[in-house]
Amino acid sequence: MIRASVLFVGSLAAILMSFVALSVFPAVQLMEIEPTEGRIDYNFAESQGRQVYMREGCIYCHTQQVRPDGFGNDIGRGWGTRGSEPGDYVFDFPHLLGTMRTGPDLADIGQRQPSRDWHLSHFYNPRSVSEGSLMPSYPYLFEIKSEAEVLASDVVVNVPEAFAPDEGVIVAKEDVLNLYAYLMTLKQDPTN
Amino acid sequence: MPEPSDPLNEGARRPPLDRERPLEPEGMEAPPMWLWVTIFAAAFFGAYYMGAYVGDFSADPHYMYRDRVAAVADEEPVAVDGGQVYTQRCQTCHQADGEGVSGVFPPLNRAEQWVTGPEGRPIRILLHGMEGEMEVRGNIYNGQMPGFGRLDDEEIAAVLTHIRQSWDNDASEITADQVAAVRDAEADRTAPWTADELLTEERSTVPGFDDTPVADE
Amino acid sequence: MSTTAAASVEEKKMRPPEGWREEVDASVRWPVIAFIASGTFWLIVGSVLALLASFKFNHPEWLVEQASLTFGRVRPAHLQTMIFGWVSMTGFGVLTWLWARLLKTKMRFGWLQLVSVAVWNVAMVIGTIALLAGFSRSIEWVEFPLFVYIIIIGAIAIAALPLFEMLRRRRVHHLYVSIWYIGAALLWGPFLLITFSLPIYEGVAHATANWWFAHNILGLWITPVGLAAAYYFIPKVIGRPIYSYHLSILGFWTLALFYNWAGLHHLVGGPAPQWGVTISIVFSVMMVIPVVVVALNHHMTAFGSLKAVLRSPTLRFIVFGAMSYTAVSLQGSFMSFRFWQEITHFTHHTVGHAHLGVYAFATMVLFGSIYYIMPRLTQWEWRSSRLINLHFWTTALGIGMYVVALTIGGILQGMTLLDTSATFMEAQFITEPWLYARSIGGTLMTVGHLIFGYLLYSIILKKGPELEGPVYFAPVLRSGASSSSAS
Repeated sequence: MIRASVLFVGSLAAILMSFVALSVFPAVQLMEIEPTEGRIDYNFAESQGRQVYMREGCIYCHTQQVRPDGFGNDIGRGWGTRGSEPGDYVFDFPHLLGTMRTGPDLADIGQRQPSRDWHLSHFYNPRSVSEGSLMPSYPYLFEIKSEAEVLASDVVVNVPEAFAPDEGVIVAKEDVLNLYAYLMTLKQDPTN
Repeated sequence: MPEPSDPLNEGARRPPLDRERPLEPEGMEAPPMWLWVTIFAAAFFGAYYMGAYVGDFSADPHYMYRDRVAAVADEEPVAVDGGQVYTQRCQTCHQADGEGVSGVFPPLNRAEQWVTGPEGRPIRILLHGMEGEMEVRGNIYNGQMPGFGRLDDEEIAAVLTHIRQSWDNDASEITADQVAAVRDAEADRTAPWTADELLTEERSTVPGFDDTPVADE
Repeated sequence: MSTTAAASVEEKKMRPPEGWREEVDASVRWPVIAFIASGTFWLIVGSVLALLASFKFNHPEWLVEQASLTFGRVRPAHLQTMIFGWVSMTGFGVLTWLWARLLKTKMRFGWLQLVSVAVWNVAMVIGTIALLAGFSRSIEWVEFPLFVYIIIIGAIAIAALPLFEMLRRRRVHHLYVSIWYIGAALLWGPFLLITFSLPIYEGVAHATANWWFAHNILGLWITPVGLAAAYYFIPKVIGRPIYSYHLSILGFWTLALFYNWAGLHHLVGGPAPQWGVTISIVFSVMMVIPVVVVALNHHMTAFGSLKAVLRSPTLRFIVFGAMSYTAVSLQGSFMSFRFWQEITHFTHHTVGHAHLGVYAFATMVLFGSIYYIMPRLTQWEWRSSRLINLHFWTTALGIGMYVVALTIGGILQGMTLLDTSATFMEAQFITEPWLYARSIGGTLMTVGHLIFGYLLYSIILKKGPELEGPVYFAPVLRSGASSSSAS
């Protein structure tokens, strides 16, 4: 090639085509999508919890998308009852679909595992309830208080003795309670 | 084609810039025939795949699986597998061996009062959940179990039957009708149960099923 | 094998004066060194972050007290420092040198590039600290806060200005194939960053834009620079022309037309519109064309020069990289198919594939390029062929272990996840030995990076013995065998 203009115009035209087709067009097409029945925007605590999910990088090990019957085994694993639809995500920015399943899918975690006791113990140390788990512990989302310091409003976390601190009790910080609140919004059928 | 030279030796013992050969202009060899065949094959396959799977250009993500999902829905309903419901819903807390997690989640195995005792109790626990202190096999637990009332009657009956007949447990089956009866009787209930409430006789039985409650202890 | 089209009358009119290489190299010396040195700094930072993340898979209780060192923060920091620090900054140094050499033109306004390096480094520092401090945007491949990318786009623009200015004063008529790749990448990179930063996506559309973008950063920003370097150094060091100009043209334009459509295969099975995913799978398969064309062009050029490949550090790294490019691209075409993604999607298999591309291809080509460029810029030889050799083997074996481990481990993980009778934990347990192997591979690579960092430090500051001749690997073949390499 001799002319630089051919190069620049050609390469820009090439990328412009796919940008319009694969980036802009889906945005336009999905603008009209109705939210799944029962799905509402996040409240303050839930959106704060979503920030914690983003901050701690949960997407690097957890997806939020169920593949349909006939492709993969997601429904067989109990991760949901149907393939995920665009309507499940209308209030999401950024999207947190994820690409890795070092841990299980969370698209329906609010329905599969609603127990706050379990989630808090699991965040404090995943191995306390799930033997052999590779998930990191998040001790910095909790504080250790002596029994006397515990306020009535504090959420005290029970963990098995082997994982409990030598002294004092474990109290959940606001961040982890918000994170739990966010996880509970992840339901394939938000009406119940 | 000329013999390839060895420029790596030519410039030895000279500064880097002096031991370079000019970059020669590209050769003009024609692409071989097999390459054209490969290109044609890739394009042909691409066109086929596009035609087969591009779908209807709607926003539908699972267009190609709709038939299959419909076919599955048409099949005869299979009996609910209580073991599977247990794995998916209960196992993370109460563990595969039904022993729970010490100090956090009570065991289901040999938990006489709560699991294998009168049928009304486990059904109520599953429908609305439970909170507060409770004693199971001599240990005190103080937690909060969420209700699973959104499971349908068959699922609740299947998983309770599974729990009542697994490990060392050997209690009677629970039927979907029993679950429906309790669900009906407690329709106004939203709060989780406490241990004291469930230990009353009224909350131990299944209304309309006149089996005498098994005495505690 | 003479060319008639390119060596035209025009070409003779523009012929640069004797000694133009010294002039040209001198004009880009400090900007290129600054880019390469900065990139290498980020390579070492990124390697430490990578090791932290990898070891956490082996010992999940390790370093959990510090929020800033949790896996979910360290991992994006690793990716971002490697992509926007190491590959992009070093790549910019390499492409600047190639650009100047191929246009045979001195760079003016080199200080603009030095400003760019400074600004870019500041952006990288802010971005990396922000990630570790908990300000991740949690968008894969673009986790830094948005303003950091605006600074980086600015830095790229500032650094590209002197290059476009050189194009107007060029002393060649015909633009060599490497120039096409670099010129296009200089438009594509900022185009991608700008368009993905637009506030027009949400929900699933954000995911489609995300993967359109992320796949293209690899394909249209990193890959072109790697291919440009391979297209230059293979014929240059061997001393033989590129096999076919026609193949070069075909390879470039098919890459430009096909690669940017391939990204949505990352969303197979997910909630993205099916038509988009299908189009991406089709173009992932069509990528076979540019890949085979480029591989053929490089192979026919290098064929019969085994001895040179064994002796020249530059060639050894670059041929390794070029072969990896073929491997990773063909693997990528295959991996896009739905039947295969059903197994490997969401597993470590994909991570192995990503490293085959960014490391075994792009990073190895950059190493090779630097081994050629630096002695010319500093007028100083590399201090030790043994250390270069060690660098090659630690990185080559390291990435080899890494890719093999995750490729196999990922398939096993995927098969177990498809098996309804296996628990989720079983799928995790089956990956654990492979994750150990990954850590060992990663450690080897990091050792290689430290050696490379030391060599680079020595040559920039002219430390070490004053050597008179080039640093080549000792001849591996005996004389009898070497003569057979002539074809």
